[in-house]
Amino acid sequence: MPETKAMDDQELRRYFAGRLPDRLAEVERARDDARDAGWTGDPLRTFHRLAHSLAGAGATFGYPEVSDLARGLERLLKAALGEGAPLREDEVDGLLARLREIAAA
Amino acid sequence: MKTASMSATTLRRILLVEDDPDIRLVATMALESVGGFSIVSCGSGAEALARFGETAPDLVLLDVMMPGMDGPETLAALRRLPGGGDVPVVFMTARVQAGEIAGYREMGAVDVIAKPFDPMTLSETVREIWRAWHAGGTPEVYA
Repeated sequence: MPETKAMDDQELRRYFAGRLPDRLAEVERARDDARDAGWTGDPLRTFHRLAHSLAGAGATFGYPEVSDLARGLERLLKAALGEGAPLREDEVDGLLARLREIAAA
Repeated sequence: MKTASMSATTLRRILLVEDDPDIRLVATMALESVGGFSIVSCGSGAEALARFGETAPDLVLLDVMMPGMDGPETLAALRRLPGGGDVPVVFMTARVQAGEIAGYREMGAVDVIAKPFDPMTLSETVREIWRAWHAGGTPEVYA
């Protein structure tokens, strides 16, 4: 992480780019746990929280595309949590795949 | 109510409670280096409660959505601690809608900072909130 006096947008982006693979791996582990739990309970809540955090961090660090994708994921999970809406696993996996592409770029 | 903390007219020490390590880091750096504040950062509500006494903050920045004890729960517990009854608490959240702001205020928060925040202007936002609180201003959302 750079000194704050030099903490411009590019510095923030570089920092977050370095963190993104690990953060995404954490989200994917949460996805696996939630799937194993039948998309219910604490594992699903954890998956939702991590998607929410990634959305916020992406926006803060100058990665709006990461934020938008994570926000889409968060919405899907919120609907499943709050309304019991059936979760479209293909949509979840699609969003995560696009995030993975950004992380690998 | 503004009592004991009102004697400290200069904002110096802030207790930052944020579970996301990257957000916590950038907020800490921004508040320390740009704002010149002394920051004690915690990754959970439970940690914040445990360190509140030793920290004696002038102000608390409190994330709303956290695992375990969330922001509102942490605030409620904080109010029961010695010295925690009147310390100004500012929520930080991505979910800021009109109805929610009133709810946060009823919980005892003096204001809300919307996420994402700009690291370079976060300190000034906090100062504005501090000034408004001292002046008895009404809460508003800082985006």
